[in-house]
Amino acid sequence: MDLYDLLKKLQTIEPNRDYTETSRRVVLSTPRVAKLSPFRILFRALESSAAVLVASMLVLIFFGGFSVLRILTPGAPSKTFDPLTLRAEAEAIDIQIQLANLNYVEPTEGETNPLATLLAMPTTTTSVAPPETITTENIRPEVAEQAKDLGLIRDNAPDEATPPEHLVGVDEALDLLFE
Amino acid sequence: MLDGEHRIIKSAVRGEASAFGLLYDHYQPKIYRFVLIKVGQREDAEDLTHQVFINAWQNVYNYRSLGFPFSSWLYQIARNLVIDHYRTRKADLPIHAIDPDSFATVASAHFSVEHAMDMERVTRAIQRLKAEYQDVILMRFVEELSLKETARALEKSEGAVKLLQHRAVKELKTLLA
Repeated sequence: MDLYDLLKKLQTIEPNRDYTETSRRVVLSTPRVAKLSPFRILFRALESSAAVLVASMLVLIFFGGFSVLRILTPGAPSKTFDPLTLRAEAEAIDIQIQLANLNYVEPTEGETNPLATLLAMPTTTTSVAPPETITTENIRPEVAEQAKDLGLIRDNAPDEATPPEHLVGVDEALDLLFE
Repeated sequence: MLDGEHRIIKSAVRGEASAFGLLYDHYQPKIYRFVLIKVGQREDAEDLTHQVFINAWQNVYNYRSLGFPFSSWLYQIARNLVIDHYRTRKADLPIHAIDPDSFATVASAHFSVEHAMDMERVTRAIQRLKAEYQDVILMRFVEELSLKETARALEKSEGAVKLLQHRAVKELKTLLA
């Protein structure tokens, strides 16, 4: 018999019908592998990075000493408040306000700044040592004149030594200036 | 080639199981024959054929129609699975191990004893050929694929297939003589 006729006889080989039905059912019920498109790859990358970010934040919150109670109880004093620190901060604010309120007034010609005059005067101290007696003799005449004009030195007999009760203290002088 | 195969394949690529079912019905007997003659054991042939269609169904979206029938792609999968089958077995199937029942059912139902004996004789002869020769003989003369389709399935040029075919036929004739 011709070789090609022999080979064609093999076309009669067929699979078992039961096997075919079972195999067909199993094959068609097998889930397909999802195709990896660029969009799907990008989506998966974003999904992974978001998960890592959230996990990192949770770790930081957990190990960073964060307490939910601080948020839930806003009226409760925090343990981090230090009275000394608060006082220092309050004083610093006070000083800043006082410095902001200071105005420098440029004296006009022929006019002497009384504050500058006062500063030029020998200051009385509040120390334990007895205050130096200020008389019209131991200050310069022009300063004494200015002080008299401002009423800082009460008018007494020029030759008479000024008793201590006639002297004006710094606080009193400041009060007078403000008036 | 199946009627309206391109349309059916497009539907299968989109994931329509019914479309792939049509492809299965058309190509499963051919793939089964191809695998059975190569491995000789009915159970192995059934397992491998089943695996061919599982792989095809799971990767059908990778299939690109380039003017060749779907069968070329299926034969490629089948060839690779048969090669893997022999690699894992690490031994060639001895001739005496061919399962005669594989052919007996069909032969006894429709053909004479002489026909069944012819089938068994030619099958044993084919199994003594090199794998490449087996592939060419089965595709060109049993499944009657064109030269182009065979070349595509074997991933060789048409000239190489012609040469393989010539040598395979010559050797088969010698074995059957």
